[in-house]
Amino acid sequence: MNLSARNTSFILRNRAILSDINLEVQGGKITVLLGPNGAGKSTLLKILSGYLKPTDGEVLIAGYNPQKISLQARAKILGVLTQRNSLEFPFTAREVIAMGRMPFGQSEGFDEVTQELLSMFGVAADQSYLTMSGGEQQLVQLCRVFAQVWGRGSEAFLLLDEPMTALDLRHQSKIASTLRKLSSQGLGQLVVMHDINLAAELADDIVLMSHGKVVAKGSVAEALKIENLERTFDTVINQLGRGSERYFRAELEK
Amino acid sequence: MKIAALALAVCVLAVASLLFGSADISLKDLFRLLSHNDDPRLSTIVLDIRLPRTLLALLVGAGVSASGAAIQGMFRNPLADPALIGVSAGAALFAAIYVVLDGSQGLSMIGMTGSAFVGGLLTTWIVLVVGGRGGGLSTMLLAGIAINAIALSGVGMLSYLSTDMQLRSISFWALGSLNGATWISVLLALAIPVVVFLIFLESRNLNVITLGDEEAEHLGVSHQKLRVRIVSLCAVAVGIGVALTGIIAFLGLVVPHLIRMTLGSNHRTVVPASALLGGMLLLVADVISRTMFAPTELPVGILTALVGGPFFIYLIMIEQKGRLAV
Repeated sequence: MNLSARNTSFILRNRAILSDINLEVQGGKITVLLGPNGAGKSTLLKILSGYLKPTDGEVLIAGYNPQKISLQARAKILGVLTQRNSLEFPFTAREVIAMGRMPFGQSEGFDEVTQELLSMFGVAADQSYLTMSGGEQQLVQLCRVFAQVWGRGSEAFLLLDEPMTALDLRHQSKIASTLRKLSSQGLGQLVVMHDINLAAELADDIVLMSHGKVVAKGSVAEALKIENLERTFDTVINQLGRGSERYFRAELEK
Repeated sequence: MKIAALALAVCVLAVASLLFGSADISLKDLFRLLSHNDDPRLSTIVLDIRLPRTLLALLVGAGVSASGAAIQGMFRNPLADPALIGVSAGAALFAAIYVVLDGSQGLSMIGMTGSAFVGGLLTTWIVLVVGGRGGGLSTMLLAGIAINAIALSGVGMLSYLSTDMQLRSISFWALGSLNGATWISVLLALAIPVVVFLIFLESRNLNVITLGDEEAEHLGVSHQKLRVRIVSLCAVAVGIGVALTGIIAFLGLVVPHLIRMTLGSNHRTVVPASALLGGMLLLVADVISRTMFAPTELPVGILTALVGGPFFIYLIMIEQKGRLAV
């Protein structure tokens, strides 16, 4: 099963946010989307998930136009983590995670999946969401999205917008290994990130985006080249080390 | 369990409320009324005056508070009030129009109630149409505020044009009172528990919508359709209440807040618990308002605002202390 965008464009108030995007997220692979702020990454995720309708071109999830299938059917094959976090009510961690089970009619928080995720990530089940730190809230939101695709294997996709935001190193590595595990079960994933080096470690494929266009895409080795990165981020980038030991960093401006 | 305790408290208070008022009635009198009724005065006071009034307080309080819970969930804002969808102001405007247009001295209760109800629904519909255009929640919030202001200025204009007698009717109605409770009003208010049940059926959707519109959609819930359903249901629940008793301030804002602080945020608990506590508080407020200055009465809307306002400020202050991340 694939999730693909073909010649997709999105225009908002006469401004092209995305132009002629072609990309494919394959089942069992992690595709990482990298690019500067305002490149159109989040908008692309909103279009791929069916939340926004493209101005031009088409999006297909497992062969279906996401805007043409019912929301319930879509929710069963697509888990999406957005960047925004607007929860203003003192739900417990268990209740928030259980909301991810809503498409499957289990949202009371005592099903196996919710329990497994709670213990796997060491989340305090009864802690109020409003008394958590930003990182803890992010972890709970991630667990909610995992709950939606847990055990679905190649039947589902995951779209994650900056999942590592506010997470400490231990949790970043835990999330990264969870994404790897899900990928080995056949789940297709598209992950927006800012950390090039973490992306290099995690991704099967990389897509570099700038000003609403794809600058480069391909395997990690193909896409993560200095010239591509400099073109994408419009800054001088240095590479330290070689091969699997290589490390990218932006040169400090003088 | 906690809901059952609340329901029990409602029953106890309902019986107790029959004992309070300008005429003295004891528990023994109540038993006498149940076993063999030989006192027509007793039966009139309890069965024709106090019982319908008690039931109306429970029903109206339940409708306003359950709607408050739903509206707060839908607007993702624990400080939202059911009045935001324009239903109270619209009802007030149409009640005022009826009072001013109807030249007769003896106002018909059905006419005033009917026009208030229609006004509440009509105004909410305008808020839905105008607010729905932008698609965003803030558009609807702003449309609600603007239309509220327009309707209330209409009430102001009509008050200015009205005679002293009419002015008294308008202002008394705007202050909210259960004084006019009859069995007919109880019968009309019986639609409220049905609507509250329909709101309860939306509990899981309300939980999910608090995450955000986009997030709800990704969990299979259309925020646009849910918004129309919730606003319509609340307009009916609050509209009936407002039409029958006038504006009861602060109840729909404070009660769900209080429930969330004690019983958590899951709407499957918040909606029914708010309905029970809301009914209970309006009943208590009504008993106080009719006994404090007996034999005259304080309009209950004044009392709920007078007590609810400062209490709400206190709630906000203690809640902010317990918060870490916002």
